[in-house]
Amino acid sequence: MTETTAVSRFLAELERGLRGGRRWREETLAEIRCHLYDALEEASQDSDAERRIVQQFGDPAALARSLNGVEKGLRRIPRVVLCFACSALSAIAATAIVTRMADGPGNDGSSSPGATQLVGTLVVATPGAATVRILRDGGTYSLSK
Amino acid sequence: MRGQHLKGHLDMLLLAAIAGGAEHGYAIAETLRGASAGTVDLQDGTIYPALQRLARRGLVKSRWSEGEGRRRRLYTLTQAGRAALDAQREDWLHFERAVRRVFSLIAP
Repeated sequence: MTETTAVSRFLAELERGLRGGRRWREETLAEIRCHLYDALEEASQDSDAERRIVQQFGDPAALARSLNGVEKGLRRIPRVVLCFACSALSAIAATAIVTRMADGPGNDGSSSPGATQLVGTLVVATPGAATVRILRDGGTYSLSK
Repeated sequence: MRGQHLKGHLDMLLLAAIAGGAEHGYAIAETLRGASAGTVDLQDGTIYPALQRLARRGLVKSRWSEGEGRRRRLYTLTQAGRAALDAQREDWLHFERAVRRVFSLIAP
């Protein structure tokens, strides 16, 4: 199949605008390419047919934005689920650290209280900071690739 | 259909276009154009975000099919999609009957 000029320009611009997983981008482009070539086969063979078909299809940049909006919606994790998960992790980590500190270092002296506290602080702080970030940013949290 | 009127009804029209059996995007666009005698004349690309949205909602499903030297994605209605279409069709016909009754008050 030989790519013709207007169609190939359209597809190139659409591809530049798509954001999302590789498989989704490839399948979306394949589907739209097929549509355009089906339309070309059905159209009259005048020199303006390709331009009309691409024009009928719409603006590729706007189409990419619409498609990205639908694709992004699937990959959003609700804020409340993430906040709950991060809070739960913080609570579990804090409990584990406090319990460890209450028990004291091992008999072989291999773990120092200072190092344990530092690691414990990081373990608790990371999901806690993530929770604060999610709450501050509002909306839903998107997994970006 | 004029663009601003079509916006709220595209999903319903797509479900109706697919109701007869598995269809790919180009055929769906042509079905809408042909069955409406050109009244539903949207930009073909607009059906793809709508079809993906319908798939996310579980109202249509799709599969790839090889045929005529080309790989096409075919869409079919799910059971939920058929139920949604029936409900929307009923709502639309009810609305259409109401509007006709109001218009009948206007002198010809």
